[in-house]
Amino acid sequence: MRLDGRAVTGMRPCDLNRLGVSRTFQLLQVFPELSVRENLILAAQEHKGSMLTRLFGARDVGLTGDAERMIEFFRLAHVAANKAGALSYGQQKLLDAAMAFMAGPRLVLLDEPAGGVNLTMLANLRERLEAINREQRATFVVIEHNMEFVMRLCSRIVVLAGGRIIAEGAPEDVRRDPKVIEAYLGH
Amino acid sequence: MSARVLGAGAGLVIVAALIAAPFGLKPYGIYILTLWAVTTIAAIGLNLTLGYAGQVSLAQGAFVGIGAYAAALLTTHGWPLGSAYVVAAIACFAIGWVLGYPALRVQHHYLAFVTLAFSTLLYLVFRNEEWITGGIYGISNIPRPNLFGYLLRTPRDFYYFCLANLALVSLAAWWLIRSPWGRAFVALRENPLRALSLGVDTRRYTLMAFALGAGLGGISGVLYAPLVQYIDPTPFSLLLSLNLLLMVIVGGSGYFFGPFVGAVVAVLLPEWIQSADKLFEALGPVGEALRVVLPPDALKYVAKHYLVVYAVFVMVLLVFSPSGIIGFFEKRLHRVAHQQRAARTGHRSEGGVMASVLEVRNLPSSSAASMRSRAYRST
Repeated sequence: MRLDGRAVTGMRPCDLNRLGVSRTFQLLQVFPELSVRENLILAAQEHKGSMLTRLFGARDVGLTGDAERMIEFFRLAHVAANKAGALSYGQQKLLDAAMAFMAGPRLVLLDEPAGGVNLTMLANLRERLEAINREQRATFVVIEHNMEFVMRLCSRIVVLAGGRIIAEGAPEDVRRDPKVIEAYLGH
Repeated sequence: MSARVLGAGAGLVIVAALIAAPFGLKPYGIYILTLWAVTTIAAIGLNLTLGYAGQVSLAQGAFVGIGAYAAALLTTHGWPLGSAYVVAAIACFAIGWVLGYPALRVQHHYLAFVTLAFSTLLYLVFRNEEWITGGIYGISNIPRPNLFGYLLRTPRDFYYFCLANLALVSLAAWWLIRSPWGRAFVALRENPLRALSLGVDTRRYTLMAFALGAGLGGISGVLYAPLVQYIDPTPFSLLLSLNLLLMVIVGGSGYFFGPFVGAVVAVLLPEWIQSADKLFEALGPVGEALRVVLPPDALKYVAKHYLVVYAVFVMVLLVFSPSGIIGFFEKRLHRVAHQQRAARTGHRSEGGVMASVLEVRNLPSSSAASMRSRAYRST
């Protein structure tokens, strides 16, 4: 595997993250005992300075501001001071996404972001992802089963079935592809 | 009254009691209290390793030993105690780093084995290297420290010195936990996978926690040597490491005040139980009243078998509250806070159970009785 031409196979996740790759998780992974704000600050703290400056230098420079902006953006202001474990599932999903974006990554892997989310929240989530994609201009790689979510969010779709690529291209083309219809849409 | 105010108030009372205590105690009592303060420092270090970084270390006793021997050797050769702090802290931190670096690159419990081996090795070094450690004859006549010309000779003076050390160590630990490092420690304890994906170098932070914990063990040893004024290898065996582990777990692993409470249990509680019969004398008229109720020889029996009583107490405690004493109280406080919140928002509830919300009837496989589900209060 290569990132910008650089081999990254077998790299530790933390090193990969420092190269500008971040991800969300299919099974929610927030830090339940930390507050929402602290979750967000944690998500970016390793990208500022070194281990030593994090202890002795100017800590969390600008991170509180970044965290506030992210809270505003994902509309979590009303629960910002609560422990992440006390949030509802949908709110935790938003937090999970927000954490992935805190460090300003170049590549974001979204693992089943729509999993277990109700319809209203889904539209909200999709809209926020589109907005942050425009704002930060990171590349998204989304793994998802929810066809409608994928069709509306993504500009290019690769469809896999049984471990093989069966279709590739723009949403409109993929939607009409007979192989895709047979495999996923069940007509 | 909010929990914070209550907590702060209780804290002040405890600090005041600690400062006033030596005036009501005999020299042995002051010695035990000083031992508690010194042991807490080692426990705070182990709490960092175990409670925050989640690593089992069986060598904390050995690090205390390194500190003690460093202090003993330096002060009996005319060096000030301050030099022992520097030597012990640097030596223990460096050894911790060297031990942990390979161990933490491998699977989870490897550090436990490495520290076990190190503990055994160091005990043998203490015992056999007579030319430096005095072997089984030990090092005696360890002087009390000299603070800007004032010799801290009396038990009370040395107690206050150790208390001041404990205060400084506590402040430093508090500052560390509050820093980005503390956040990283919590992250790697709660969810190491997620922490890694956010760029937290879990290996490096765990190593740091272990090395810092070892350093604090060394500092504790530096105070232990002048306290007892004679050291030999015996106190620094695996038993001390296990005792410190017990302290951290019983107090509450990963809680800031866990080590303090744990050290009370491990250092003070056996003493209290041992003098249980004398305790009732000390309580005056209340003690008299209690003595009428309790069988007369029971207390003497308890006092003689204090170790058994102590062991049973620890076992029962851990069965009922695996997260230790602090963990037990924290859960209670959560429940109280939850009740208060529910009362404020007007939820009708009696004794923790709400009215029937869901009723399920005529399940095919179960017995004739219908099932009722009651809404539980979430903890």
